[in-house]
Amino acid sequence: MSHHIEVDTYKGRYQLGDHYPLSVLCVNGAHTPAAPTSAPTVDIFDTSDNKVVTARAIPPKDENETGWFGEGLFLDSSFSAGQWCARYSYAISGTSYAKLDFFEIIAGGDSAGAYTSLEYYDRPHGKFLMGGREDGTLEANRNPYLA
Amino acid sequence: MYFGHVALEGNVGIWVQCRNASDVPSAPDAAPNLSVYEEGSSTALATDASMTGPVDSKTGFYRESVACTAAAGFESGKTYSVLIEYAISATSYSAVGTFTVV
Repeated sequence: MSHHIEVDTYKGRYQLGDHYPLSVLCVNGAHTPAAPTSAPTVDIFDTSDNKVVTARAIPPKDENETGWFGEGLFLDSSFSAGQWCARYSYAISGTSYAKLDFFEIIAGGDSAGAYTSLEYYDRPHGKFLMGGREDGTLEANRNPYLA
Repeated sequence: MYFGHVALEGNVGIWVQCRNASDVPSAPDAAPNLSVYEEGSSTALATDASMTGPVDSKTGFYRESVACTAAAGFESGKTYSVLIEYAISATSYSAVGTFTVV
């Protein structure tokens, strides 16, 4: 029986609208961090093998740390509550490698994310609170009031 | 590796990336087997002789769903171990994971 050093990890629980921390340390077969041939990519699957993220390239997390790549992935309406598996792939000196991350999305949150901008407009026919959300949508909320 | 939480009577997703001794993703000789054990027990609550895959045609990437039913012996609040076994070029490998039923 052969044994592996543990390379697949659980990344925790999130809600829609959160940013999931894509992160991968590229290592070679000796488990030494090494620069991949090109940026690692990630595919993300649900428990029915549906792929909601395809071959997304990941930028360096810290250029002073060899082989470390990462960024936040906005959990938009492509996702839903449940278990998810992120499969990272990269190549070092012509040899392909893959790592897995597991994470969960729990109920709650908002797939549009937080407001990144708000502007109040007072017009003759109504008052408007214009909002920009993290997913890029714009909202026009007419005659806002405090309940 | 930890797969997460699943409600009693729900299905938990189990994934494995088959790798050879050099940690290179490799196609197993046959689909991996998985067994689920309760803490302190050497009797498998659930087994699957053939995980589904390769998922998305990714080399050595397999998944399976395990039904965590009370009828099968699963209980809320307990953590279960998963043993995944496969062979590559007749060399045996294994991976171990856990999940929690809530």
